[in-house]
Amino acid sequence: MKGWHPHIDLARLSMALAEEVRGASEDEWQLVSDRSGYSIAGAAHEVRELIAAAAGDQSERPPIEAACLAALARQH
Amino acid sequence: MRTQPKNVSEAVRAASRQAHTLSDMQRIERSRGFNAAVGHTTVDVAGALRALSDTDLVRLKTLARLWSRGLPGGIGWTDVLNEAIVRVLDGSRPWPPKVPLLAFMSGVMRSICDDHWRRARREVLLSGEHLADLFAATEETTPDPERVLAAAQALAEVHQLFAGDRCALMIIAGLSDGMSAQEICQHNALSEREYDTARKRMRRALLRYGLVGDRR
Repeated sequence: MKGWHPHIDLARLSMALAEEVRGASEDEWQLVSDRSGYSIAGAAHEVRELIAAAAGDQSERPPIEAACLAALARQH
Repeated sequence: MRTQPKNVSEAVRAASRQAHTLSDMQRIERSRGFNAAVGHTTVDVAGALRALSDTDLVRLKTLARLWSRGLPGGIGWTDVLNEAIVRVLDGSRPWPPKVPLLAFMSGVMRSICDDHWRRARREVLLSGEHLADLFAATEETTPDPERVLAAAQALAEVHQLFAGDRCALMIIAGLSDGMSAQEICQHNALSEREYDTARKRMRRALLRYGLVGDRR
């Protein structure tokens, strides 16, 4: 189809769907979890581990940099 | 009068020392994207990420799934989310004030996915006989064929997600065209109630996709 730009359509759609995801209430998430049989806690655990792993990598930065960041953090 | 230049010189040196220290700090802040005057600190982001509720973490996962669909080179949602977390924690993506964390993370992931597409295209152009097209490609005036194909497939998958739900598909088509809720209703002769009900079904299918993934 000439003049059709699916990547632009997808970008618009993804923006709208991302808002749906962010705006869905706790109750809706719970309902979906109950109906699907997949627990929110289980899915959350996976993401929490990912965050911990990524944060762990960050804490391995050189001590001087870490000290500068800590000093800056204390200032604000 | 003789002491004045000395005092001035002292003052200049002190000011210079201070300026040097300040500029050093600013350089560190800039190099880390770490400017508390315009955004949160990386310490704030780390704390905020750790404090996310279970539901927010699943929201984050769903957003990562959403943005990473069809990425080249087998890059998945965990890669995109990991990269986003690293970038916000190392300060290269500062968290602006008054922007909710999930909205910010969603934007970072979207931008990371765009970067992956740009990088993939550049690699294809550099490795092939398309060097002449490189400038045009970097200007993004022409769509990337691989990205267009992947987007078409991703759109097809989204349609598949809502298959059998005529109203939801109308809404999907409208959202893809950038229509507002009112325009979608007018264009498809949908009542406000039909729209709201279909949108709720659509949202639940989407949440299920985020929670469960492709497992049916």
